Amino acid sequence: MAKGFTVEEKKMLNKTFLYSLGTFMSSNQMIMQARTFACMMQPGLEKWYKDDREAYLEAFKRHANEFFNTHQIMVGLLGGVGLALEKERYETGGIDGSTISSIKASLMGPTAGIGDSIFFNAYRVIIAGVAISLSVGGNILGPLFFVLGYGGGLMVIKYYAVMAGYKYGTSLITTAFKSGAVQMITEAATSMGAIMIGALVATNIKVNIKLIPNIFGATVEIQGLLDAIMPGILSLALWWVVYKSLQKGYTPIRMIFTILLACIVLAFFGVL
Amino acid sequence: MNAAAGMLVVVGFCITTQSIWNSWTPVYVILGFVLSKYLGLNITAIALIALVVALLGFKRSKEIFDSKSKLATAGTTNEGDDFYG
Repeated sequence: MAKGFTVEEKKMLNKTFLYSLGTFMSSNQMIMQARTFACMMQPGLEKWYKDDREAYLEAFKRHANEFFNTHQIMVGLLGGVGLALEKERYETGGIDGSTISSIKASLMGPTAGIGDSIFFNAYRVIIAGVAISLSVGGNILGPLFFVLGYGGGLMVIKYYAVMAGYKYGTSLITTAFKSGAVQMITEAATSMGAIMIGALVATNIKVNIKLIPNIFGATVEIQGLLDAIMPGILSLALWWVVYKSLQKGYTPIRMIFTILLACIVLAFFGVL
Repeated sequence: MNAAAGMLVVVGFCITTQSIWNSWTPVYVILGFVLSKYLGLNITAIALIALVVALLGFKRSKEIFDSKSKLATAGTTNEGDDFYG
């Protein structure tokens, strides 16, 4: 992917990648990641418009002041695409600034969706799952694996995303959308993430009922009964109830305090 | 507090579930749950199985997409046949 570039282009793309690491450093609610995106364009704009200060400032301000928001890895891909478009504008003059803005605006939404489903919902869950299982018993390898696997892995992917974006320009994303590959990839990543969530629910959520009531002289071990029906049924039920509550508008913070309060009350009465 | 510590992680899982929700999500979640709880597979093995399921799903979606495209193309090329045939 990184092959086929001149030394100057490679230097420019490396700088763009480095700037892309600050995606959320200058984020604000009005223009979100626009300032970082403008910084990502800067190495290219400086190269092409070194003798035309006006054109340089026009392009830089355009990127810096227009709303831009996507997934942080996809910023790399769109940064590469943005550079390819700016290069075309400089060399051929075939496209104008507003076209570049429209292309950016049309791509940031779909790419954010792809990034979320692949990196947040599948990749992160898998890496976290493996890291959690490694961490059992206080093993330091768990957090190290997560930092290297997730943080390091994303850095590598982002680097190649910048290269791919510049190399293929808009054709990469347009082809992916036209061929229906985006929807297929999203569906596949979603199913993978859901399976991992199921496994994490089974291994990480622990609901144990300690209450052993005495009914007409016979003790009834409730947890044993539930385990006989289906081991871990309460973990799965808790996942479903919390999910439905969040769907109905319960905020995560409110849910956390509800669970805490419920646990304290139930523990006080000897249920948990 | 110990009981709460074992349950609070569910909120994080549910936030992730919200973002990936479709009609098949509960089926996949139960599949992952069964693989872990009943078959006792570790997370790495389940991740590999999830990858296989995802690849099979991708292949199936692609086949459906390709056959739909073929049908659409055939429909366009045979548009005039009914009139003369």
